[in-house]
Formats: sequence, structure tokens, C-alpha cells
Amino acid sequence: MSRWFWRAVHVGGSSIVVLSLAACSGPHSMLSPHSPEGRSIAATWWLMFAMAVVVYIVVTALVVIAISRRPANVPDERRHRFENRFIVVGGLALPVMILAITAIATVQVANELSPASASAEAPVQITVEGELWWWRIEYPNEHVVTANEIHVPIGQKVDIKLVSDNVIHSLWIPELNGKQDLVPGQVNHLRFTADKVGRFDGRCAEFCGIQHARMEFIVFVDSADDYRSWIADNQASAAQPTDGSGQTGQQLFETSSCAGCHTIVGTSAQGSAGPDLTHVASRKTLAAGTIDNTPERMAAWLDHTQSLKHGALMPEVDLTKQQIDALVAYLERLK
Amino acid sequence: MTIEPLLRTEPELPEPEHVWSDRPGLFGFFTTVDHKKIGIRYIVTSFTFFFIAGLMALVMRAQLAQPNSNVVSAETYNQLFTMHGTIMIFLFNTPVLFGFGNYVMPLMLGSRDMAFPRLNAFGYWVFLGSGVFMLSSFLFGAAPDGGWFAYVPLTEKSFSHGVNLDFWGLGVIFTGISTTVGAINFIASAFKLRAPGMTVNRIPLLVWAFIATAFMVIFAVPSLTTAAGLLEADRLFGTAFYRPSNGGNVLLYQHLFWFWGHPEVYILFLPATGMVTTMITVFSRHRTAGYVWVASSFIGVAFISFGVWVHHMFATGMPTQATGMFAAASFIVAIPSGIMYMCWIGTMWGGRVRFPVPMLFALGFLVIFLLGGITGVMVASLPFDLQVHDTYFVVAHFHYVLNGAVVFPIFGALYYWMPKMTGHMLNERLGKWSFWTMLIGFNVTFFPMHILGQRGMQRRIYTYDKGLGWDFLNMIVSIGSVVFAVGTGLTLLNIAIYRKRGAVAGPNPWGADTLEWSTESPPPEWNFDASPVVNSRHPLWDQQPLPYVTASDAPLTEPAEGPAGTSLRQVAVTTGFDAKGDGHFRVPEPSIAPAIVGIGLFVVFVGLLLVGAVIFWVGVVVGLAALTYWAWHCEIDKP
Repeated sequence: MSRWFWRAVHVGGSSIVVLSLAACSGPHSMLSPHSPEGRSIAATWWLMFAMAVVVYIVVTALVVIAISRRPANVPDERRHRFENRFIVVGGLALPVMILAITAIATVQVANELSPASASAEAPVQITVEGELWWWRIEYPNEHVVTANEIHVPIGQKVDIKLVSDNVIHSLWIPELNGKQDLVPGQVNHLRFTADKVGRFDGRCAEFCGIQHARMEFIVFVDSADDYRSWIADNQASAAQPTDGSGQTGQQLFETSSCAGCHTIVGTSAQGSAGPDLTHVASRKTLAAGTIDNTPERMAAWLDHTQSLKHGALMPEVDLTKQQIDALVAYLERLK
Repeated sequence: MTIEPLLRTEPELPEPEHVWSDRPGLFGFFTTVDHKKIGIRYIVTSFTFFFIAGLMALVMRAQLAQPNSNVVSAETYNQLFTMHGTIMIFLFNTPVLFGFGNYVMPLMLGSRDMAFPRLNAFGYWVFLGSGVFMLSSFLFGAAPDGGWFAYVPLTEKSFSHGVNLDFWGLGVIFTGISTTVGAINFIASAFKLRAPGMTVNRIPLLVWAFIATAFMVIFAVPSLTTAAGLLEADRLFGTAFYRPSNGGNVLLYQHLFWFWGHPEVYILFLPATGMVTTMITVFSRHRTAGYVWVASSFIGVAFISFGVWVHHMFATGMPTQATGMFAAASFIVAIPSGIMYMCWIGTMWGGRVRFPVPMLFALGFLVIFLLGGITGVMVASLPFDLQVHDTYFVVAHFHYVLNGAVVFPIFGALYYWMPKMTGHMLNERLGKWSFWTMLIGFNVTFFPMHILGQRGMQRRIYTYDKGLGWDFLNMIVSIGSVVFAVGTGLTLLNIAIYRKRGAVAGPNPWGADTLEWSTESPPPEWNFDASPVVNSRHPLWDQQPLPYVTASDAPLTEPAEGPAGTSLRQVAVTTGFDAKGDGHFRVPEPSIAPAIVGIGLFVVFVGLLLVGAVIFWVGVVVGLAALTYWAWHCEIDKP
């Protein structure tokens, strides 16, 4: 029995260590952070992880010794005293110490991250609204509106204002910071300073209905120049179609039900229920990460929306193949 | 050790069989108030729900084994995870522990029944009714789909049009009635029905766990009832408690829910640790090290657990000053667990440990809960929680606690008390296979979830894309879940085969120390021929032979002559603190009233669900009529 038990403990213990170390890799891991905020949290984790390994090994070893040793024949009074000391030291004093260390680390990092200690005048202000099931992104100072993609400049403090007028969502970019909920009736903030140029995936973390799984977004950390030019591009009105099918597409868009929900700046389409499509062709994905943004996939989306993202609020409109091609020709040029 | 049938020999008394037996047949089935039958019903019913919810988990794991798979639709998946959690918490974990409490507690106390036997029967019928109520939603294709904690506004009428969420909201209010009456019964029984001499510092630790649990239930459940009640008011009657557009508050729901929700974790956990303490003591054959420490830890946990609920809400945007307080309380609640660990280790340290199946499950608990407890401290750390909250890291953590640290002790308890219930031992070899399969399956299922969570996999997604670094681990998890399911199935098989065919158990097959092992297996309807007299924490170890109350110990004995026309369904009542004789308690006769009131309540809830006034009032009338009959038809008041 006890040999089996030892073996089980050995295998279990070593696999815990190996698997946990493997956790630092992976494309969207909170353990490969690219912001000071993310690094503080990861450091807290590694501190707690180290203590956890020691505690786990020591307690398991005590259990194993306790079940395999032969009881010594000691007088009751001495045994009682020993047990009491054992409980006070092992069950009270040591846990209090370990918890105190954890608590101090927690308070320090929590203060660093707390909205109170972040500068309210962050140079980059973004408002994110949680929708069913996509993200409305606004840059109020720059008058830019987009969806499901956030661009931020490297090395600058970003303040994201989080609001929702439907259900609770939660904005989470594992590599940049912890998550914050978008709670109807209140305004929350998430702040971070990204320090690596690149693409970081985020997603909704609070169950928000049938397509909770398909509510993703991308954060692009740009160099200062790239960021400025992205803002400038997105401040511009939509590109005018130059070819025939594009013009047909635009006309169709403006006269059909599309315009009831979507805005394309520079046209008569001013709907606000769905994502702003002024620069839709510049985005990487459609429908909050559901599909890649290619002409073929966009055509598929227009043709059978509900089988690609069942329950999405965009209805399947009866369109002919020619109409879809015209719409795609128009939309895919809206860089 | 034989029990002297002291009072049975008195010639003028009727045979106990006549006084205690239920009526034969179906009528007897619906009228019984025997705590043992009710306890077993709780256990059987809740295990039925356990296997149903377990199958749901397997379907979910089939869906998540590979990226972008189509085993079930998004709607079905959302219903499955909602009902998996709801069933496991409300219809399995809580009632199965109440079932064991019902069965074991009066026996452990040396009593003949619970303090309120008819209330006890009522509690079971309500539990059964609420279970049927919630599960029937599948028949109408309208199972709840808002997650097991049903956050508003997603669960408000404007975002959830069907009756799905009404099944949930009304269902949890319905089960709350059962839990509450059960808790009242536990408290009254533990304080008034202990064997003479079982002073407050000799109460078995499992009973202490149930006392602490019962008090938590009484203070926590009203909060859940309020949360769900206001939700149903919003949904059915158009109030605006949780609708910000009309001045309501969304987070109010979360506060109310978790004010119950976090104590609930310990409501499940404490009885399980009580079971573990019992098994470790018995199989170390050594008195529990630090009895006072363990009992105080139970009570300490019960108090502190009411001050930690906001750690479920760290990401809702509350100020750090507030969340910091709750983080601190959440660290502190770990200390009693540390104390308990050292008490368990100390007990085993002083004794010579045997390893029958129940002890294996207790040891499995020790290695699993250790990890679940450690990750519990981690998620109490505010900044770290903001990363792993609502991810598979948390899913892993609470399965280590609620599955590992509650289900493992429950399986141990099955092997431990089943011989008392049936008179037959379960098969050891099959039990060991079951244990090891479960232990391995459990860890293969839930350990990788920690890593998935840190890699960004959030909870409650019906599918995911390829190439996120989740594919391999999800496949491992799904394989593990099958192994775990096979392990639980082996115990089911064990019970099916050996329940009646296993080796004869005898009164005390484990050489245990508490009073339930002093009577026959299975015990007679009246449990004990006379009250045992206790002068130790471990009566069957220290008191050989065990003394019983005799006719000269008035007023503890039954009166030699009952008044004409009454039965001798009586049990000694003792004082709450030092368990001195305090008169008698006449155990009520079997009655159909509890079942009818239960049916009335069921109809009331169906009426609310359908917003059908006629059905509702029919239920009210039936329930009130049966309640009136119950109150009048009371043996205690008869001359």
C-alpha cells in the first residue's frame, strides 16, 4: 500500500510541476505578459506558485509519514502536548505566515493596479461598449468609431472606459491585464500600458448569452507612427466606390435593410444597432472573431449569417448571389 | 457487545415492532417518518440526480474535446452547463449530505428519530418535488440557460423570454424550503436528542459539522430566496429590482446571491470534512487529535464564510478598499482548514492506519483538497483573480473543492455507512478499483484546466478555435472525464451487486467508536432498545460494555404504563449543554400530511411558473388543508 502510495505521490507531484511550467507558454497566456500590469500579476502568481509547491510537498509528506509510521508508545499526556504543539505550529502559525506574505503581495499589486493610483489623464482614452455579441469601440477625443479591434500606441497609458446597456460582459486581454466587467448602470475602467508591438487577442469572460463564445476582439499595439496613421485613416469618411459593382453595392446597402443597423460615414447609412462599417475592410475578422475577413467569408456571412453565428442579432436577409457579390465588392474596399 | 432488551421484557409494554413499524405497502411508503428511510431516500434520489448531471458533463466534454465541433448546439450547451451546476449544487451535493445527516445523526446521538420527524418527511418530499420541477424543464425544451448563478440582466425577461429561467428561479426557492426545514431539524435534534451524558464536549465531530452547517443554512438561504424571489418578481410581475433603466441595480443580485453562495460552499464542505474526520479517527483507531480545535474550526468557518462573498465579484469594479477587505477575509478562512489538516495528520500520526475503501477516499480527499484549498487562496488574491476569474482556472479550483473535497468524502461515506444501512459489506476489491479510477480520472480531468485558464480559456464557451494552445489539453480533460465517470460507475455497480449479497456486516464491522455502531445493522425502526449512556467522546472504544438507561433512571426511561390508547413512540430528551435527562419526546405517528403539503407546494410552484391563478390557488388550498390536518392530527396533543 504505502509503496504504491509513494509512487502515486511521486508521479502526481512531478507532473504538477512539469505541467505548471508548461503553462507559461501558449499564445494568450497571462504568464507571458507585455505590460507592467500584466507582469505584476504574473509575479504574484509565481510567488504564490512557489509557496504552493512547498506547502503541497510538505503537507503530503506529513500525510504519507503519518499513515506509514508505527505509532510510538508515549504516555497520553506527552502525546497530547505534542499534538497541541503540532496543531498550533503547523495549523496556525505557519499558515498565518504564508497567508501574510500572500496578503502583502496582494495589497501591493492591487494598489498598483487600482484605478485610484492610475493617472486619470491617460493620453489614450477609449470607450468600449459591450453589445450582443460584439464590441463597439470609440475614441471620443479622436472621433473614431470601430468594432472588435482596439489600436493602442506602445508605451502610453491607455484608459478603457467600460459600459454596457444590455447584459454584463467582461473585457479580458490576458497578456495585458486582468479583466473588468461591463456592468449595465455603471462605468468601469481598465488601464494598461502595453510595451510590445504586436497583436493580442481578447475575449468576453462573463457569460452573456448564446454567443458568449464568439465575442472576441483584437488589441493591436502599434508604434507611435502607426498608431497616428491608423487614427487618421479611421477619421476619414468611407472610400467612394470607383467600379460598377462597388457602386451597385453601395446603392444596395443604402436602400436595403443594411442601413437600418449599420453606419458608413459619408453615405446615408446611419444605423447604430450594428457595428460601424466605415472601415470594415481594414479589420482582420468579422462578427467579433467568428470568421476571417475575406471576400469569400464575407459573402458567406451575408448569405447564411445564422448558421455561422447562431442567435446573432443580424437577420438573414434574402439576397441574390449578384446582390451579395455587389455588397462584398463594395464593403471589401472600405479600408 | 449485546444490547440488553431492557424495556422489551416489561410485560405490560407492547412489542416495539407494533409501535414503530410503518403500515405495509404504498401507504406506508408515503406516510413514513422514519429518519433512516428518509435518509436513504435522500441519498438514492440525490445520487440519481448526480448521475444525470454527470452525463450532462460528459456531453459537454464530448463537445469540447475538439475545436469547432458540433456535438451539441450553442443553446443545448448553455442549458447543459447551467443544469449541470444547478443539479450538482441544489439537487445532489446539498441533499445527499442532508441524507447522510438524516440517517446517521440520530443514530450517532443515541436517539430514535429526528426532533421533527414529519417535518423531516416533508423536507424530502419538497426536495423530490423541486428536483422534478427543475428537471421537467427538459421535457418542454426549456431548460434554464443562464448559468447556475443566473446573473441579471441576462436572466431578466428582456433577454431571456421563455420560461427557462422561471424553472430555475422558482426551483431554487422551492429547494430552499427543503434545506431550511432540514437545518432546523438538525439543530433541534443535536441540541435536545443526545444520549444522556453526551455533553457538549463529547458530541461527535460529524454532528458538530452538521450543527455549524445547519446554522449557516438558516442564515444564508433567506438571501438566496430573496435574490431569486426578486428575480421572479421582475420576470413575472414586471418589477424593476434589477433593471438599471428603471432605477434597479444589477449588482444587488450578485450580492444577494453570493451572500448565500459562498457560505453554501462551506455548507457542502463542512459535513464532508466531518465525514473525513470520522473516517480518519476510526481507521487510525486513535482518538481525534485536537477535538476542540476541529469543532472550533467548523464554527470559525461558519462565521468567516459570511464575510467573503465579494471575492466572487472582484471584477465588477468595486473600489479596492472594499475588495481588499474581502480578500483579507478570504485568506483568513483558510486558517481553520490548516488547523483541520494538522488535526487529521496528528490523528493518523498517533494511530496505526488501516486502508479499507472509506479510508482511501478520505486520503484521496486530503491530497485533492490540499490543492483545491491552495488554489482557493490564490484566487482570493485580488490581482491574480482578475486574471483567472471566469476562466477554467476557477472551474478547476471549484471542482477540486466541490467534486474532490465533497464527492470523495461522500463516496467514502457510502462505503463506510452502507453496511449499517443494508447489513452487508460492499466489495473491497471493486471499491479499490473504483477509488483509484476516480482519483486518476479526477486529476486528469481537472488538473489541466488550471493551465487552460491561464492560457486564456474562459468559462461557459460552447466551442473554441483551433490554434489557441487549448486543443491538446481539452482532449486530455475529456478523456479524464470518461475515466472519472467509469470510476463512479464502478461504485454504482458495487452497490447494485453487493447491497444484499455482500458479507454480513454485523453491528460494528469497522471497530468504530460512535453510537450508530452499537445497534444492529440495519438498525431496527426504533434504533435502540434503550438510550445508551455516554461518558466519553469515543463511547464504543472507552465504554465496554456500553451502559443503557434502565427503568430506575427516571425520568429518562419510557413510562412503564403509557396513557390508554397511546403508543410508546418516545425518546429521551436531554438538556442542551450537559445532556442531563429532560423528560420525553413522543415521536409522531406516520402521516400522509407531509407528502400532501409537498404536493400542494409543487402545484403552487407550477401555478407560478405558468402564471396560472387557478392552479396556484388549487395548490394553496390543498397545501393549507393538509397543513391544517397535520396540525390537528398530532399524537402529542392526544390524551
